[in-house]
Amino acid sequence: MRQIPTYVRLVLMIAMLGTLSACAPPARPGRMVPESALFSSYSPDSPLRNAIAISKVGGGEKTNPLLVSKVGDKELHETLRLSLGQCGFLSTSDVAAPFRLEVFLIELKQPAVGLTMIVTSAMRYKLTRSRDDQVVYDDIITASYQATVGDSFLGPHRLKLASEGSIRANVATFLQNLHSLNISKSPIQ
Amino acid sequence: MITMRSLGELFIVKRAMGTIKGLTGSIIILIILGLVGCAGPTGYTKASSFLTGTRGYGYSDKRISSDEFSIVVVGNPSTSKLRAAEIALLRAAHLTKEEGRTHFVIIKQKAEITERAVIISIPLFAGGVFVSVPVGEKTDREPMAILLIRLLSLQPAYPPDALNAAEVIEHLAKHLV
Repeated sequence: MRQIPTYVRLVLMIAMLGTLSACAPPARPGRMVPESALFSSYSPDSPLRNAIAISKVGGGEKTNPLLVSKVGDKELHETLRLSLGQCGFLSTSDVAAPFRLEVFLIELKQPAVGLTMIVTSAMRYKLTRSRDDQVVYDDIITASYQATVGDSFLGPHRLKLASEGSIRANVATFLQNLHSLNISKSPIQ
Repeated sequence: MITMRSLGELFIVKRAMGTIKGLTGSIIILIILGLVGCAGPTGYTKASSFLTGTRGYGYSDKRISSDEFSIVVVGNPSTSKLRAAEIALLRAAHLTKEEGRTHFVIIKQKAEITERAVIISIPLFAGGVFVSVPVGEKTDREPMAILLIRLLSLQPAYPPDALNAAEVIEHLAKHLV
């Protein structure tokens, strides 16, 4: 059998080490929270101020460390809690909150391989008024984010960055929609 | 008459031919892979899970609650948005039957064009093995259809927006499967 040249073995070894060193950790909630600067036009008179409790989060997948980074329910819940809190929407009480929020991660479209990793997330947000169980907001939001080799040389890490960025963009769109939501004028969107 | 020089040339040619023969299998595999990449639109198929944990083309679904499901279809670049939406609708009908129901309603729907960066690479023969060398990148546009459905319990009369699963299957199955 013909021997594999040293430089090919070296390249393979580096690739293997790179793969092993990049065992996939789950997405980090802190990196999925949108920047607060995006929401400077927040109205303090909004009925949603300190009024939303997160009642249900689903659709997430646990990360297998040997495979690619995923977004689990726990990470998504924490991301939403931090994001709503940062914008002044989060209620201090889960039971007595005037509004309940249900979020479902419908899809996290991730590439198997690639230099530029583009991840698209699709999430359903359903906001219900506790008083009369009226749905005041129900929508599917999709958002994409791309991470390049400039962000990280390691593929699994690049994919994690893209996944986190996609969720961050998705939550940002939802928060912007909340800011522009006029509950008294439009009971159902 | 065969001279020493021509014998040497013959030996070189034979050796080269031997190498090419040894590589025929690899070349055929590369051609097949290339052709698969140019295949037709995505059919009614469950999205396969890769070893990496990511999903390929086709449909996938998740249970939201006891009666509610989400269905997502991602098509390859040759698939139209309409076809992706039809696959999602057909999956919704099959799912309804699998759950022992006859009718469902669509709660939400969305159709998107998503992007996927694809590496353009060329095979290079180096050190006795074929190495795939990336030379660039292109962006493919892939349709994604999303459906949120609620299964209806068996009842004498269904609401006007309810869809009959059997009728949907009869209408769509022929040209999608």
